[in-house]
This record gives sequence, C-alpha cells and structure tokens, in this order.
Amino acid sequence: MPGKNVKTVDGRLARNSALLSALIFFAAVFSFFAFFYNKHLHFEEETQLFLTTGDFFTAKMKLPGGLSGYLGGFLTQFYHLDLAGPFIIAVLLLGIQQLTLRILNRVNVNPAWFLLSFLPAVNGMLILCDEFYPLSGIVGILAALFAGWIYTGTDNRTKRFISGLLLIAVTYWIAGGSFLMLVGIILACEALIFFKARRRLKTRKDNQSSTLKGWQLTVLVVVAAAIPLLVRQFLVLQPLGLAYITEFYYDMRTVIPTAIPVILALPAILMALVYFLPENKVMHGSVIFAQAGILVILWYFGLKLWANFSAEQIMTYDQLVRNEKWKEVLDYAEKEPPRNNLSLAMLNLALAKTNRMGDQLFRYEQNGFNGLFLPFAKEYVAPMMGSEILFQLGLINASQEYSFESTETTPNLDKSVRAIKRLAETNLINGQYEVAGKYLKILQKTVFYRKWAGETMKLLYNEDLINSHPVYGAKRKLAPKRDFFFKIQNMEEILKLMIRENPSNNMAFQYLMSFYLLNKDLRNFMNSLPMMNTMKYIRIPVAYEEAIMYVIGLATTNPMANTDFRISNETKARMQAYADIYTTRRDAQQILGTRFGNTFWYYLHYKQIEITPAEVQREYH
Amino acid sequence: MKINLAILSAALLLLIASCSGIPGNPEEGNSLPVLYPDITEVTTPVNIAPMNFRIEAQSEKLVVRFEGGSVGFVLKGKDRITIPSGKWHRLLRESAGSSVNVSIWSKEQGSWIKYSPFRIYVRKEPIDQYLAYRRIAPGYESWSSMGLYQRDLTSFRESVIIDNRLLPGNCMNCHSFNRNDPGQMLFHLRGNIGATMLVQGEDVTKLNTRTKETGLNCVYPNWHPSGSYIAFSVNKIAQVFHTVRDKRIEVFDTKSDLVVLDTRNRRLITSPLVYTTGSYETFPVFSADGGILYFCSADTARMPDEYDRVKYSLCSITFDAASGTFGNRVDTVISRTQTGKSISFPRTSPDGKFLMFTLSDYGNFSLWHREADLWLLNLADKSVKPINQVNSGEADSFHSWSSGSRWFVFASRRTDGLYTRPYFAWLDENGEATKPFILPQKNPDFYDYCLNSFNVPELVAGKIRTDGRKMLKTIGSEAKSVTFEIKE
Repeated sequence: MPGKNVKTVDGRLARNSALLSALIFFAAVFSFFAFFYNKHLHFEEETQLFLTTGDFFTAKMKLPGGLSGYLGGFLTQFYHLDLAGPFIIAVLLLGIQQLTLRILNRVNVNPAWFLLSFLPAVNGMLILCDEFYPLSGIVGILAALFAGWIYTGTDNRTKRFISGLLLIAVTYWIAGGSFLMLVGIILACEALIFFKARRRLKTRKDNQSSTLKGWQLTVLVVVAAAIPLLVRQFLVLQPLGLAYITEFYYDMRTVIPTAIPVILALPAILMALVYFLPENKVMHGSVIFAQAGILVILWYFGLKLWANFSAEQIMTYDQLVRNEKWKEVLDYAEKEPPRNNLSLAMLNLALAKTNRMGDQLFRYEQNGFNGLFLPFAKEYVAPMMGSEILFQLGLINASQEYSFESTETTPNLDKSVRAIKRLAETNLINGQYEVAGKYLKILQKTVFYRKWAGETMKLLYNEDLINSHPVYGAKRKLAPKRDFFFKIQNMEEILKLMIRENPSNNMAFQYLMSFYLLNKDLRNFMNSLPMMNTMKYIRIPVAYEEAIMYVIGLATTNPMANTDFRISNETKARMQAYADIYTTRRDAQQILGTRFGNTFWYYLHYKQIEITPAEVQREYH
Repeated sequence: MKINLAILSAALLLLIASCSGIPGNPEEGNSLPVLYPDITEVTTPVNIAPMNFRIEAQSEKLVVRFEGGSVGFVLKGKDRITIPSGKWHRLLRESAGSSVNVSIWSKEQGSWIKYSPFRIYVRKEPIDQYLAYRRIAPGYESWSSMGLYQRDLTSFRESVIIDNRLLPGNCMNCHSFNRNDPGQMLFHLRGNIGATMLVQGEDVTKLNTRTKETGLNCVYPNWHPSGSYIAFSVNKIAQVFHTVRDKRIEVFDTKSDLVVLDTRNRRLITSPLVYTTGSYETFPVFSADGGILYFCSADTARMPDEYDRVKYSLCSITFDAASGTFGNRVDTVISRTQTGKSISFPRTSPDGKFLMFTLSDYGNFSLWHREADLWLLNLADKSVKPINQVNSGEADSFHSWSSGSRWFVFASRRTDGLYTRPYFAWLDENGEATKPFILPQKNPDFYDYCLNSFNVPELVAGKIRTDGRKMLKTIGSEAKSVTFEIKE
C-alpha cells in the first residue's frame, strides 16, 4: 500500500525529531528498566526455566506461538544481568516502533505524524511492567508487525492475497495470538486501499485501486478464524480463547486481560487514524511537540497505572536475601521500610542473620506472625520467599516443600529455575544425591546456572565436602534430628525443638523470642530468657529489655529498681518517659507513636495483630 | 600356502569388520556396559518401541551390533544409539520366543573397548498396546501442568486424554479401566470441578459421587468384569510433611470405607461389613470372575500421631453381581500380623491366578515409602512371595496387569528416588518375573529432564478414543447425583 511521495517543508525537522525521539525512547526504556524497575526483570528471570536442550525447543515448537515463546524465554534469561534485560527490552520495543512507523508511512507519508508510531511500543513497555506479561508477547508482536510490513508493502493484489494467507498461517504458528494483530493490519490495509481508491475517483485521479476482491478478503478472514479452530481440533486441545490468543501473551491462561486485545488492535487503529490526518499539508513544528506532550502524558499516566513499585520493593528485598546480602537488606530498609509482610519477613530474616533481631525488631513496623514467617499460600511468591527463611533456619524439608509449591504454582505452569536450584540444594543437604544430581543436570542446560551446577556436582556423594561446606554443612548441623510433622502454625514448637537439639542455635532462638514478642506472649518470653546464657549473650538486646521492663512493671510499683536483669539505664529512662506519657496524656498514642513507635511497648499497646494464622487442611491430589 | 590363506582370511575378516563398521582389535572388556536405560538382559514383548539408550561412559564413538533370528544390523553413535523403528520391530519379530544378541564397542580415551555382549529376551506374547498414566510433578499440594495421557507402546507417540491445558486449575486422577478396555474408563476431576467422569463406549457421564450419607467422594476405583459395577473406596485423605532427611511426605486416610456403584442406576451400595467405623477399608479390587471383592483393611488410629502404627491386611468378601449384594463374612487373606507390614494396591490378574500387591512398613500410600516392594499372592495355593526380580531400593508401588496376564507395569522411583517411572516386566505362569525395563523413550535423556512423575500406569488394550470436545461439554454440564444404600 505505497503512499505518494509528498514533500513537506518540515520534513527535515520531522526526520530529525524522529531520530531523536527514537533515541530518547530507547534511553528512557533502558533507564527505566535498568535503574527503576530492574528487580522485576530479575524476578521474571528466576521464575522461568529455559533449557538449551533440543527437546525443550521441540516442545515449544509444537505449540502455536511456540517460536515467540522460545525466543521470549531465551531473551528473558539475560534478565539475569542487570543491564542486558533493559537493553533487550529497549531494542525490541524500538523494533516495534520502527515497524509501526514504516507501516503507518505507507498509509500517510506526512512525517509530522511519526510520534503516533510510538504508541504500540509504549503500550508494550507498560504491559511489561506487569510480571504476568512475558517478553514472548513482545517478540510475537514484533513478528506480527514484520508480517504486516511485508503485507502492506505488496502492491499486487494476487501476491498480497497469497502472502496474506501464508503470513497469517506462519504468524499464528510462530507468534501465536499476535496473528490477530496481523489480521487487523490486513483488514485496515484493504479498507484504506478501498477508501483511497474511492477518494481518488472523487478527485478524478486514475483508478489505482488494487484492493482484494470480496471473496479474497473473505477467504483471508475465514482462514484466520479457522486456523486456531483446526489446531484445537487436531493438534492442541485447549479452551477456545487460548486457541486464539495462545499462552505466550499472558501467564495466567484462564483470563485474557483487556490490554491484550487493545495492543493487538492498536496498529490497525493507528492506520485508520493516520489515514484521516492531513497527508499533503505542511504541519507546523508545534504539532510534533503537541504529539510529544500527549505521548509523554499518556506514558506518565500509563506508568502510574501499570508500574507496581510496591512489588519492585518486595522483589528488591527478595533479591538481596536470595543473594544473602544481609547488610544491604538493612541499608535498603533505611531508605525503603517494608510495606507488607513479604518485605518485612525478608527484613526480619536479615536482622536474624546479622544477629540484630533482638535489638532492632521494633525499629520497623511489625505485623505479628505473618511478618515473621510466610504462611503457605497457593501462589508462588510467598512460598518462594518463605523458603528462604526456612532454609536459613535449617528446616531443609520445609524449605524444599515451599520451593516445590512455589514452582508448581508459577502462573504460566512452567518451572522456576530458582526453585530447581533450591531443590538441588535441599536434596544435596539431605543426602538425596540421585535427585539432587537430576536437578543439577537440568541446571547444566541453562546459560547462567551451568557453572554453579557444575561446581555443585562435585559435592554429590561426597559427605566430607558437604559437611565442611560453609552453607550446606552449616545447614546440616542446624537441621532437626528428630522427626516431626512440619506445619508453619507450629513454628513455636519447632523452634523450641531445634534449640533443644542444638542449644547454640542462636538464629532459632532469635526467631523464637521474636515470635513471643510479636505474639505478645510475655509469659513464654520470660520463661525462655534463661536460654540466653547458653547462647552466650553478653548483654540483653534492647527489645528484650523493653519486654522485661514491662513485665516487671506489671508486678511491682517500681520496676526501675526491682529487677535482677541487667537493664541499661537508657532503656529504664525511656520506659519512664513512655510510662509518663502513656498514663497522663489523652493523645498518648499519637505522641508515643512519634517518640516510641520503635519500641516493644508501643507495639504491645497499639498494634492489632493476628496471633497465628489459621490452620489449613493440606489435601492430597 | 597356509600362511597365505591365514593372511587372506585375516584380511577378509578385517575387511568385513571395517565394512560393517565394527572396530578391529578392540580391548576385550569383561563387564557389561552401563547403559541408560538399562536394557541388558531384560525381557521384552515382541511389540515394544525401540529401546534407544546411551552408554554411561566417556564414549567418543559407539558401535552396536544387534542380531536376532535372521536379522542383524550395526548402528553407530557418539555415546547413544537411536534404533530405527522399522529395523527394531523386524528384529523383534524375528527374535520372538528367543533373544536379541547385542554387542557394544565403545571408543574411550582413544581406544576401542568391546564390552561383554548381552541379550534381550523377546517374548512372543505382545503387551497391551497402550499405557495410560497421569503426568504430574511429585509435589506436595499444588500442581502446575498435569494431565492424563496415553502412550502407544509400539512407538513413541503420546497423546492427551485430558489435561489441565483444557481444564486450567483442575486436577485429574484415578483413571481406571475395566479389564484393560479403552471403551470403559473412569477418572476423577478435582479442583473447582469436582466430579467423576464415567466413559462407557460412546456415553460419557459426569457423576457427583458424594452423597449425604458418605459425605465424601468416591476415590480408588475398580471395575467389576461385567461393567455393571465399580467398587470404590470413599476416603478422607490428608497429608503431612516430615522434617528429617530420609522422609518427605506422609499421605494417610482419616476415614475410609467401601462402596460399589451400580452404573445402571447410579446407586452406591455397601455392607456394614465394609462400611465400618472401627477400621479403614480401602483399595477394593474384584477377582477375575467378579465373585470376590478384595480390599485392604486396618484398625483406625489417632491420625496423624499414630501414622506408623496403621498396617493394612488383605481381606475379602464375596459379591453377588446378580443381586448386587455382599457376602456375610469378611475373610482375612493376608494378615498384618503375618507380614508385620502393610498391604496396599492389590490387583488381580485377568486370568485369576495371581494377586499382586505392594508391601510397605506401614500406611497405605506406599508411593512415598522407599521400602515399598511388589509381592505376589498365588490365589490357588495362597502362597505369598516378594517379586525380587523387579523390586528395588526405592518405592515400587502401583501396578497394572496386561490383559494377557503375563505382562505387568509398575510405578517405580528407582531412577532417582522421587520421580515415578513406569517399568515393565514379564511374569510366567509360576509367578517368576524377569528383569524389568523402563518405558522406552525416543531420547535416552528424556527422563533426566522430565520433571513429571508417571503416576497410576494402566495398561490398555487399545487407544482411548474419547472426543475431547464432547468430554469438555459433559464436564461443563450438571453432574448426575448418586444414591446410597447399605444392604444388611
């Protein structure tokens, strides 16, 4: 559908602007994912398992959209590197913009409208902010636009008809649901050729119409509608909607979010839009700036709608914990205090690992049991992060269970490389070498975990190497010796048992004491204090001092004097100040929240908590 | 002249060897090669798919000669061999009733080694052509991709019976066939669609087997040979998770009883003798003639605290198909006091001669018991023995007979201790088994990268030809309820 070669006075400005805009767009996308949204990419990378085996490739290629799925997964691996993911995304989105631009140019050659070509790319960037939209969707869209570019560039009607048939079939098989985008482009193209021909007739220009004949267009539409149905009938039995959209555009196969039809329809809509915009008229530069302004505003509000910075915070905590960067977790918490239980549980783990739980537990807003452990939930994030806590505590089987549950609840029904890695570790620690070797062998078929898997392979069947390993050996020592049934609701008993088996297990002790404090269980807290002696504490941690002072205060009129515990004068003074406000001021909560919000006393008096999560019956399937 | 002849003969042999690709002057190894899958000295049916394998050695080149009957051929590879289907099946046909001789030469560290040759024994009796199984990760509570599949055992073709690509979020289990008949099948759906799908020829029925009297769904099924009845246990199943390194999961019943579904009028019938409060009854299985219902029974216990004290005996009760009534006495066929252990998954052979079962230390979900082994009860003389030829150090549990009663398939975790794989073995009329072999796959590495278990392997005499869309339509319809009756 070649347009006429119309010269405009501001063509150079527009061309320069187009180049500059493309560079700005590339830089903006890259910067956003590199510096503001990078942990999302890491999260996506670790929740997929991409293997470099022939069978893995073949399995994908047996599905409609499989090549996009494969390429999307292949590229997603590189999210492992901080800057590679943003670069890949920026390149792909720029490709979408450039192909859109070329298609739109065939409808309207006036360069003043080039900024409209950014809309699908911006849309693509926005949906990538949601971790449920995989990169394979972007690859698929790129493929469909490429097919659309070929189609719209074909003049001859018969050739266009034949190429349309082939492109629809091929795009469906390699790119999946984005073939609907191609169908939209084809329909828009034919409609515009038709209208353009009529327009030319009206203006008494020669009739160059080469629109497809009615039957040809009908055949194209019927073929497009029939291919997914035939595939569903004979190759892949799946729900109707999934047969058309395919599984590589949204991770949850049970729903088709509105954003998908919108992005698939966008090129066709833009083609129609630019058709009605002036083609021969010289546009003032301000038109470009106005478009740019609108685009930026749309982008801004789009980001507000799509970007989830709360999730980015959780993923940041998670990534730091996963890499055992405990000090960095605490530093990050200073800038970004936890906003939910997931982040809080990761922070609490870092406190325990740095032996600061007793001192700094209430420095951050706590939320009872649920911010300490992460109860089992039938989704993939809480078990994945909960597995870290259990692993660090030495509850290897429970960590294994949580990892398994996590990978089995991954929304796209694929496996998670992070879970497989953890399963390799837990089985290695447990001496289940055959299955540990299986997982390691799988990881050896990945790009970024191959080396680790190879190194870890050397530990298999070597008890001495494992026992002396700084991580695995230590976990073996912490692991329970006596069998019991693990339930997260029973963490108190489990921690007590672990301390009984290993009286120097300070991490279990910290968690136990925190459990009591967060559950406001002062009786058991006080009863557990003598364990500090075997833990070789040289002073009482601040939160414990606060709890002790409170308990003593319940029993005596002068808690400052009547204590056998060596409470610091600073804590005593703070308690005096707290008590004065608590007992004398009507607006005590507000004042105490400001001055003593980081104390056990404030938590005790004002924090509403759920003591322990309700027990869930675990069914077998 | 003699010297010349000798030189000529040697040269001729060398020429033949080099033409066939067999290395000359290899180092003679005196051990069998370590192959995966292990096909050395196994017994196969005449119709099994090619047994592709790899050698577990640093092989640079591999040459393998297969010889059987009048057929012989040489294949080459680096460290693995892919056998052309046509050649393989011709070889098996020619070797039926005899054996295939396999010789392996492997080039390792620059030198050729000739391993000790081995044989593959080929039985004339074919195995049922299809194997139905559920593929699912051996997980805890959640599942991702899973489904029921059927595999053509004569080739590598696998097809979907039903999976959760079609039914997202759902779980399907306990597929069961009437004496290996692909036209008489049932399976359960769990998840947001809870139902039992009953396939009888062209008819597909969706049943809600939970009644107000039982309060539970029907679980473990077994068909009466007439097809008019299906025995079920109704179980309340729970699971807990161990914390020590050698154990993972404990699955147990907190309630279980037996019922029989009359498929003609959708009525559950039972007897007070198998629907009790003082004991758990589970895993019903009819005798070959349908006159006896075998099942496992244990005293109830305080669960999960007493989980390892629950041990099941094998019991039986007569069943009259004409009247749909049970006998008035339960017999103990194998007592837990006799074994000191626990019996699960009893399955009678179609010829009525044997009953195979799984024996583990306690409980009934032997899949999670590493000590679980297969045992055989001779129904004629009541003798009981372990099937040592097929048992391993890992769980060997669920099993299914081929319709000819000579082949059986069983689920084993011997490969890695966790992922269940189907193994096949031959059992002669005296109850003697042969070395088992794993379900052959096109790629010998298949099981290494497969993160699914093959659960409940059931041999089926033909292809299951359910129409997926018809099935889907029925699944979307209202489930038909069943009634309940206790017959004194």
